[in-house]
Amino acid sequence: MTALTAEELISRIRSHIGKNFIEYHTGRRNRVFITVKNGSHRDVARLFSELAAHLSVITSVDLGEYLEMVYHFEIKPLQVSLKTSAPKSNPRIETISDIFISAAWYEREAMEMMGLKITNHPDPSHLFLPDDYAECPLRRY
Amino acid sequence: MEVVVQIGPQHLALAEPERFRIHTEGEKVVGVDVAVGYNHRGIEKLAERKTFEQDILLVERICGICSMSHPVAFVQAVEDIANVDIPERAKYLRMIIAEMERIHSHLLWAGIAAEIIGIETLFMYIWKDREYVLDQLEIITGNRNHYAWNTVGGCRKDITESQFPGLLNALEVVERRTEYYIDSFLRNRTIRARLIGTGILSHEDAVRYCTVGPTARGSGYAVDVRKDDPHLAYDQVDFDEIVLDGGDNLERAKVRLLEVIESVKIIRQAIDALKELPEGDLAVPVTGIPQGESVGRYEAPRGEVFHYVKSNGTFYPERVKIRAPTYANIQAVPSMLDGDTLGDVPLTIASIDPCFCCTDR
Repeated sequence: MTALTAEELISRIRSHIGKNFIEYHTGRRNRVFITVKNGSHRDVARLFSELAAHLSVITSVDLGEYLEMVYHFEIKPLQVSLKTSAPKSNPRIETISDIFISAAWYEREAMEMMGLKITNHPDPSHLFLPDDYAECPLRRY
Repeated sequence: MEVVVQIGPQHLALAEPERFRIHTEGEKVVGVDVAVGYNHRGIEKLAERKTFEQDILLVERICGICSMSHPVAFVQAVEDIANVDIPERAKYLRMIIAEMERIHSHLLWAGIAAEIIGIETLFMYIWKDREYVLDQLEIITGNRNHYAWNTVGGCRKDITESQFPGLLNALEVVERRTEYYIDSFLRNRTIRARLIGTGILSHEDAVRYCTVGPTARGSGYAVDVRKDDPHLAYDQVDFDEIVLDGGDNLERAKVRLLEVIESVKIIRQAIDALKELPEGDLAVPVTGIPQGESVGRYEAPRGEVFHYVKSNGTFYPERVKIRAPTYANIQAVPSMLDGDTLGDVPLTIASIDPCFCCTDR
């Protein structure tokens, strides 16, 4: 497979999800950050899995009014971070663990640490924290 | 009848606390549940409360072995946000210490594997030879671990001309001894009997679980940040990415030992390059980290270390996400153990070179 450029990848995602694409920016050394609407991240993840992407990790970020999930993929030679967010009052984001099996653990961490509600998750129990720990330690605001 | 054997959180077979619940039928393993979190220290949260400079020392302490890999990944992310290019000499300096870390980590692993197999003499020999590298690390950085080598913009200390002969001498000993150990692992009947055909991770599962490092490369999955995402001076030196196809414990052992030889090659080339570069050109000044985000990656001995750093323009990071290699690899362990005998469980768990304090952070 020939190496993708950031522009080619963006145009493929745009044609795949249309108006659900919000914005993107590139950083140094092949870093690409893409923001899509909640829900479309699954379509993009499916597209990435066809491109033989490697899921590095999933980060959860507290943006104040919103909670954000950042899915870090490697699509050689690009390092792509796919973002989607949900309002803090109803932080529901659907799992991608059926597309990338290793996402299951990263999503469990996001649930216990940031209080996100990952829907359709195969095992929503706590990963690092005790089972009865109800706080969301990584929330900032 | 299915019997559940619980290994951990505290168990003789484990150096660190983690729980494995092994479902067995007779001697055969039919399922494994892994529970992590017994070593969780909240380092990601703590990193938000410390300045970028303090965080370099904090992430260094995530792991006692990868105490170069974590800071390199972290400072690379911060340098990307600050749009800073570090001096050429600093790239080689970071690379030398990081590769020395890889050598001593792989030798440490080989020693532990020898001990689990039951050959304590080999374990003692390997750890004795590991001391050559640790001694050099102490002479160069001042510490056997936790080198405090990095700062945002470069390195904090230099390697002087007078330190090269000692380092080259240690590399020569380590290279010669490692070749002997490669021979031992490949020829010794007892070792082969324990390693061949146990803990098999198929190529499909290695890809499916997004494994990293020697665990992935032992199953024919070619992932190495040094090649895939060139940084420091890895594109300036000549070395091979060791990828083997078997997927069993022997292949993972071979990958690590062969990588020691590659690391020696890298350090020798880096020393040659350092001799050509002006001494003392260590770091560029960085004043303030602007708003932004970036990803820092480094190929630690156990696999890719991944840091995501988000800055809000203050002295403190907004978010630091850390993914250590074992966090990715441990998810593939149930697939490795499936169908093996109970006696192979400690060796197979050790074959991913697990670091649970990294995983839990």
